[in-house]
Amino acid sequence: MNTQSLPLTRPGIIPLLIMVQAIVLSPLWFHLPAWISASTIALLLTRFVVYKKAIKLPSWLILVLALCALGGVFLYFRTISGRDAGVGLISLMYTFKLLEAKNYRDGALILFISFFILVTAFLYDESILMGVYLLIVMMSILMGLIALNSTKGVAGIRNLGKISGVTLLQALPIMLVLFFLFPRLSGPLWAMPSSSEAGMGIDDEMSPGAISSLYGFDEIAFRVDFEGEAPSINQMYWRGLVLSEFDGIAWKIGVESPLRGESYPDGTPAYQYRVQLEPHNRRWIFGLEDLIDPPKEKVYLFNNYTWRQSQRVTQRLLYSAQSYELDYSGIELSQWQRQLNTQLPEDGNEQTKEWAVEQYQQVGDPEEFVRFVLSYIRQQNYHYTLLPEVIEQNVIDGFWLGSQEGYCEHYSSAFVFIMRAAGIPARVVTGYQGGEYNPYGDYYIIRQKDAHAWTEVWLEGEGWRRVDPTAAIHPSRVDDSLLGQTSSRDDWFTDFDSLTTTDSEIARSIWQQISLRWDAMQSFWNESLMGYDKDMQFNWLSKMGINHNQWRYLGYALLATVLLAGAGFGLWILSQARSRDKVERAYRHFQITLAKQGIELKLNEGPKDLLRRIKQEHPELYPKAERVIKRYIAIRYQKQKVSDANKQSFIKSARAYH
Amino acid sequence: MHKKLNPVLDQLNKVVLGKPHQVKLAVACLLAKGHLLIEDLPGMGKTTLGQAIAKVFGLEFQRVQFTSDILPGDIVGANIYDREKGSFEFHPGPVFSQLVLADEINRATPKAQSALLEAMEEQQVTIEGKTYPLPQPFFVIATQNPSYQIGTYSLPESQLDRFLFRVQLGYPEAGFEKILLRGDSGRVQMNKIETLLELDELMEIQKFVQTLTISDHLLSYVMDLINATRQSPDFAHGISPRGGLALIGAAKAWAFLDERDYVLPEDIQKVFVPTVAHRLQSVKTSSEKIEVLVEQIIHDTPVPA
Repeated sequence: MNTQSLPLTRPGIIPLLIMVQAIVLSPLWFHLPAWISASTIALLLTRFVVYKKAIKLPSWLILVLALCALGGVFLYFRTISGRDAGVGLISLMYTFKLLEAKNYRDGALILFISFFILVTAFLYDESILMGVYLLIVMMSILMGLIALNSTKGVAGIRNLGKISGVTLLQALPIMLVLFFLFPRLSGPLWAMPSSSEAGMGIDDEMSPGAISSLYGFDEIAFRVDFEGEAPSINQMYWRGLVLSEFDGIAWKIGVESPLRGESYPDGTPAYQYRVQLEPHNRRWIFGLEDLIDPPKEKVYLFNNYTWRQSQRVTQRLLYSAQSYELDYSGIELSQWQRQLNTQLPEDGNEQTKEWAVEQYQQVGDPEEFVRFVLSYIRQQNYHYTLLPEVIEQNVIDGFWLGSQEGYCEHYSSAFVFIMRAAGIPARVVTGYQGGEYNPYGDYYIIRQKDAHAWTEVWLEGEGWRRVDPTAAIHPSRVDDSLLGQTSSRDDWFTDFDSLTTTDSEIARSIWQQISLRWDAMQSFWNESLMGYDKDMQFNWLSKMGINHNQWRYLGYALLATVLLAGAGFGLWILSQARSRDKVERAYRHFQITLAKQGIELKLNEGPKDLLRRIKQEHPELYPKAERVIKRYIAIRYQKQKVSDANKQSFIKSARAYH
Repeated sequence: MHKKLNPVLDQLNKVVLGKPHQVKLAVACLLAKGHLLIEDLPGMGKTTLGQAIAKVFGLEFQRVQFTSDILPGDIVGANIYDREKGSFEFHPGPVFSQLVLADEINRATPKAQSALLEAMEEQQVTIEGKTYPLPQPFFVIATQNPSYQIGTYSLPESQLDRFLFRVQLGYPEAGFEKILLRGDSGRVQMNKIETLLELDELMEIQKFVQTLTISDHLLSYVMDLINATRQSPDFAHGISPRGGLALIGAAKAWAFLDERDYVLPEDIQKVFVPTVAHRLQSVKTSSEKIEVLVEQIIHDTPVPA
């Protein structure tokens, strides 16, 4: 029985298709404009009512509505291509298609388009949960296909589920081979539109409160996986930007330019690591100090030893990098660099300026002066708090000589100010400090709350030296609320003695364990599945002993194998058709000839019944047809052994029948 | 040989009115050496059919009314002490006859049911270590009430398997019902029935039926059908090889009644539902009658060209 000739209105098929569409579209409803989501839901409901009440919608109405939808998409997006407009349009047309679906072909088309729309959900969300959900969607599409191709339609969801599950499992090996071996493109096939939502992270400007505002956020900034040894957590300074220009309140980037390859400084390699950077919609790329070799194409090293990408990071970025210990020997600070890094506003914060000049005169030596200021922070009544007193004018004066309480941006800002006031080149560096070690995946999680600001001071003969004034605060003056929670910063304030474990801490540690395990899974998902790109494929293949230039041949071989297998399969099908015996083909030919003469082709009918039907429906055909059928019965059923001559005579008569 | 059976069918159809297909199935069942299970409400002419067949083939006829207190001994017989001879003597039960009509078999307890069913399977009865062969030919027509009736013990599937066919008689058509109600058929017609076949002839036909030609081509069709029952989600399990053999035996008998000495796909199709339906169980979710589902298998399976 041929299912292609069955109507779509068999029990259960239309509701199943509606269900499949709803399941396929539901992740998109959260991302598409509300009117498109609402329209698709309305269309699905309409389809259900039309099915239940057996209404026949005029096809011109559907056409007009579909054209309206097309117009709506164009008016809304001013285009019909691109991610949002494209996905919106195809979702609408997809639901319209079901509204006008009548026959097998429509049903099959809808289900095959479902596979495509399924993937578009990944354009919005690549998380594990989405992956699991899409697997369920895939199952349901397969169930739809199986039901559509079964004469019984939806006979038992459990059975459909079983068949589709087995089908998926059967496809698994092919899927794995294609996943690992199918040639990867070096970039996405089409440019992903940058999402309009601003990413979260460190800004290119630092004013009081800029970094402490990130404090409450557990969002992951990036994950780092060290190959081999990792530095201790309090030595992990993830460099993002260098801020050299001060306007009295805020620190800004100032003039910077990319370094060309030949002018890269020397350095000794320290740590090898891999980063999964979450999109933050900015151009800077974080790395472990010190940074030299850009980790990726289109990422450049700037003259303040920071990395910049030519485009904003709008998608998760994976890169491998190496940290170095820079060697500044023989490098002089250029005149304009010195000027840039000693620049201060003409007026304002006069008291601090005076204080700095006075103290420097007493100490005399830049290195000594750095040490003096740090111990000054430690010995004087400086507090580390998230909620410092708000100072309106002369912020440095107000902090340094007044409130004496602040967050890292206050300390680094004041420290650089003091150095510059004393004539020592200094600058603010922002980025992240520390990270949480995840033992389940052996990597570090760096969160937004780990955002930090520190400083660099130019010392003649030594070069830029990192100085973190925040770490100099005496532990007893660190705000309680900051201590327990910023686990990565505990190390700074080690001699703090209130670390007794309480029940809530144990509960939290269990919760922490769960969340770390979950994060390890996510990291694996991002890195190894979603992030499986050309480079990873190369690495993986070279581990298998196939190196870079052989790889191309592997691609060809894969292609050739697919083509050969396809051709082989095609030939096999053809030969099957050939070897189908001649009697069968002759009898089918005869049946088809009869069908043209008005005797409906019934595959489930025996020869005698066929003959009787001919006699009833078209008696004039009977005498001729009888001769053919008699011969057919003789060779097929009457005798166990049939001579070739008999076969030939049947074939002849069947072919000659007209 | 074929010709002898046309008058047989004619005679039977005069007694059992308006049921030519069921009558033909019953005769086919006898020719295929099978046993017949008639499932229907009381008063549909089950007994009439049995008696008529017995008469027309000249078979020794016994009717056993199954009740809930019937014992195995009431069916197969028992050893009874003979005071004069001073020994036990075997008194054969009603099963020792050529045509046994087991009426309302599902009213009896499973123990009594299996006494009959074992006799059917083995064509012999063993009592206290002694084996007594049953007469030949041996043909059982069992009737049962639809299983939803109160006070019935449904036959287990393994025992349903012993019956070649399960048929339903159903209500007669209006025209025939009128004749029935006039009352001049029944007994009168029954008395008119003549025995048309000798026992030897019947047994010869039974033997001959088994020799009919089944081509390889037809076997592949049978296998397609059997596989379809095994793969269908509608049934709890498919047809067993024994079921397949039964199907072929039945089709041969049908072909014989159609005056052919080879089997056609049509024969298989005609006997498929009565042979197969009681050997299958529909899965719980299906609300369709099992006969409809089995019919669908015929409908969906192409005849190999």
